[in-house]
Amino acid sequence: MSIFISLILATIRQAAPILITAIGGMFSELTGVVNIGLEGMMLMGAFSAAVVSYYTGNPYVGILGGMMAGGIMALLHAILSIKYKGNQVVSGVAINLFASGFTVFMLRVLFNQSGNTPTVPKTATFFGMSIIVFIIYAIAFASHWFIYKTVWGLRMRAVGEHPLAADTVGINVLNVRYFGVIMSGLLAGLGGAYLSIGALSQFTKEMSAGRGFIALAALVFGKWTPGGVLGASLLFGFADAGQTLIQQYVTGVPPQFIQMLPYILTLLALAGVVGKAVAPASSGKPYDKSDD
Amino acid sequence: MNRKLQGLLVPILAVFIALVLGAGIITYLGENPLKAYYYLFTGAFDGERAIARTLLEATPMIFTGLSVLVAFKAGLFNIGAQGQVIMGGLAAAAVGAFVHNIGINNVFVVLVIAAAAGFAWAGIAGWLKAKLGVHEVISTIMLNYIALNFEQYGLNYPLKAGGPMGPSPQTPPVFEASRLAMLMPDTKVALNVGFIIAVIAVILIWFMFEKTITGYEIKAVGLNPTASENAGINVKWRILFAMGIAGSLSGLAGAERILGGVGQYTYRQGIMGSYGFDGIAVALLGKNSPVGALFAAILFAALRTGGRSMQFNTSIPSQIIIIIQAIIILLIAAENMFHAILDKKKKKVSN
Repeated sequence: MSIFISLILATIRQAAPILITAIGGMFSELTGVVNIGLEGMMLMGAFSAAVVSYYTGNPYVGILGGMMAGGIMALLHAILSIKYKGNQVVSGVAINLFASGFTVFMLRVLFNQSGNTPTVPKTATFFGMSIIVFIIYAIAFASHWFIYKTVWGLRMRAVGEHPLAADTVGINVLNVRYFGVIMSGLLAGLGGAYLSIGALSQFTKEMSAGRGFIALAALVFGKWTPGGVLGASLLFGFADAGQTLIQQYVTGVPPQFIQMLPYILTLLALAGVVGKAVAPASSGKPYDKSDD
Repeated sequence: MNRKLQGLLVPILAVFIALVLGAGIITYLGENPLKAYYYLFTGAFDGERAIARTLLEATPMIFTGLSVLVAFKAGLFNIGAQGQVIMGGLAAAAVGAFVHNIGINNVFVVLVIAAAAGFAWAGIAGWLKAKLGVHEVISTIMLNYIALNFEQYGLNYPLKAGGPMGPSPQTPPVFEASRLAMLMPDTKVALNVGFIIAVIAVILIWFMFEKTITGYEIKAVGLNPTASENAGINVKWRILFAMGIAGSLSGLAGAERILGGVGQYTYRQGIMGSYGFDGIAVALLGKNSPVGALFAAILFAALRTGGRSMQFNTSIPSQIIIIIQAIIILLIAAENMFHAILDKKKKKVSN
């Protein structure tokens, strides 16, 4: 029984950073901007949260620092892809690259370390879980309400599906997109902050370890809805948390194959095996009033 | 200024601005940027060894740059070059180190098998795109992670050397017959025939797009799939084919790392670096031209080899190179910004 409970708790914990980053990705993609840079925003969030926590001695200021760092990266992505109508995938790839270089560079500059920061204050825990986990789930549930019950949510969906129609009824398409993209960075930054000052008490090199991409997978697998994203994140979290347990019961399966599962599931989802995944119609397309 | 000239100017400006920003960071950290860039340059180009190192580093990037480029021409974004590099490398290591004395153990056959592995791996994304309309960006990212786990599986289980090689996850070295010949053995740098093959690939890809019907059709599909369909081009087949060729080029990048002796001819963890992602930068900076990609690959390789010498001789961490590379890509993503600025200048002048 206790194994069962600890497995559930571990699943909830492991799902948290994926969940919040995927919710962030949803904010961006619902308004029509693809965000491949989630991984980099998460990494910057993890690094900045640890650095701010180190210098202020206050992990809650650290959370804000992590979110800010993600938000700044997202602002860059927004300016490039919304204002200058640049290629969104290229910009996202550059942000990921920048984050992996910048964080290691700054580790050397600030701490003269190549792999990790010194130990920093971490957030309070309840039931063995960081308070950030509770914040994350609260935001995830609130996002459902926000997207389906508020005017802003309606506007986001309208802009993502048909920007010209949204524009015609007086919605400022560009502003809504800026909002969506910046939200994605703030939330990915929060996911990163969980990794460095929630789960651990330091930043380690490349600590996002592909979770930003898993979040992208959760977004697709969850069909761009908060409920779906929650389910997908918990599934991926379980695959992560349950690895040792799965090993015990399913003998002869190397761990690598279990780690592959989220990605294989996403491919199957995309292929329509698990039901058709449909992205917002204008996703990835810059909006230009002069186009028809 | 016309668009074509502007198009050529953008990558040059991007590199220049990124280097200036880099110099700003270096100055801020209390070093002399001229001194840092001096070591960067000499570390990459001063002397035979430095040049050999730079070209060795450039070789896989030439392949992956071409890989991303071929997909680009068909209107596809190949984020999956990294996974294709891994699958090509694993195939090369598996055949090169394990298949012995059955007559197929020579370097040419191993290269073909590695290219085929890359073709098949990228082909999954191509097939999903052509048949089911699955966006290749998401599918290739997923395939990258599957490949990464597959690499770990391969190195820890079926392909593991063990024995005298110790417990670390790596394959045994490939047999002599499957090794690529060295180009500059005196330098003790593993620059090998793979570089020549990469240059030949540049010429072949250039030839395909400029002189053959297949290349023309791929470009047509990339520019306007609907019109191509109406003109009688088999769009689905061209997408699959372009993605496959992209994969085989990346597969060759992986094979070169193993057969070229970069790591004592074994496949070990981390040997594939980030060459697949570098390919994206190379294709973008090369403005999607094969010759441009060749130069872009050499530039990025020079930054990397020179960066090590800079770190050795100054207090600047070599990761500044990754930051400069990221700024270059960001600026290229913001290409429209350059056009806007250059057009404004032109207006002012004509007034």
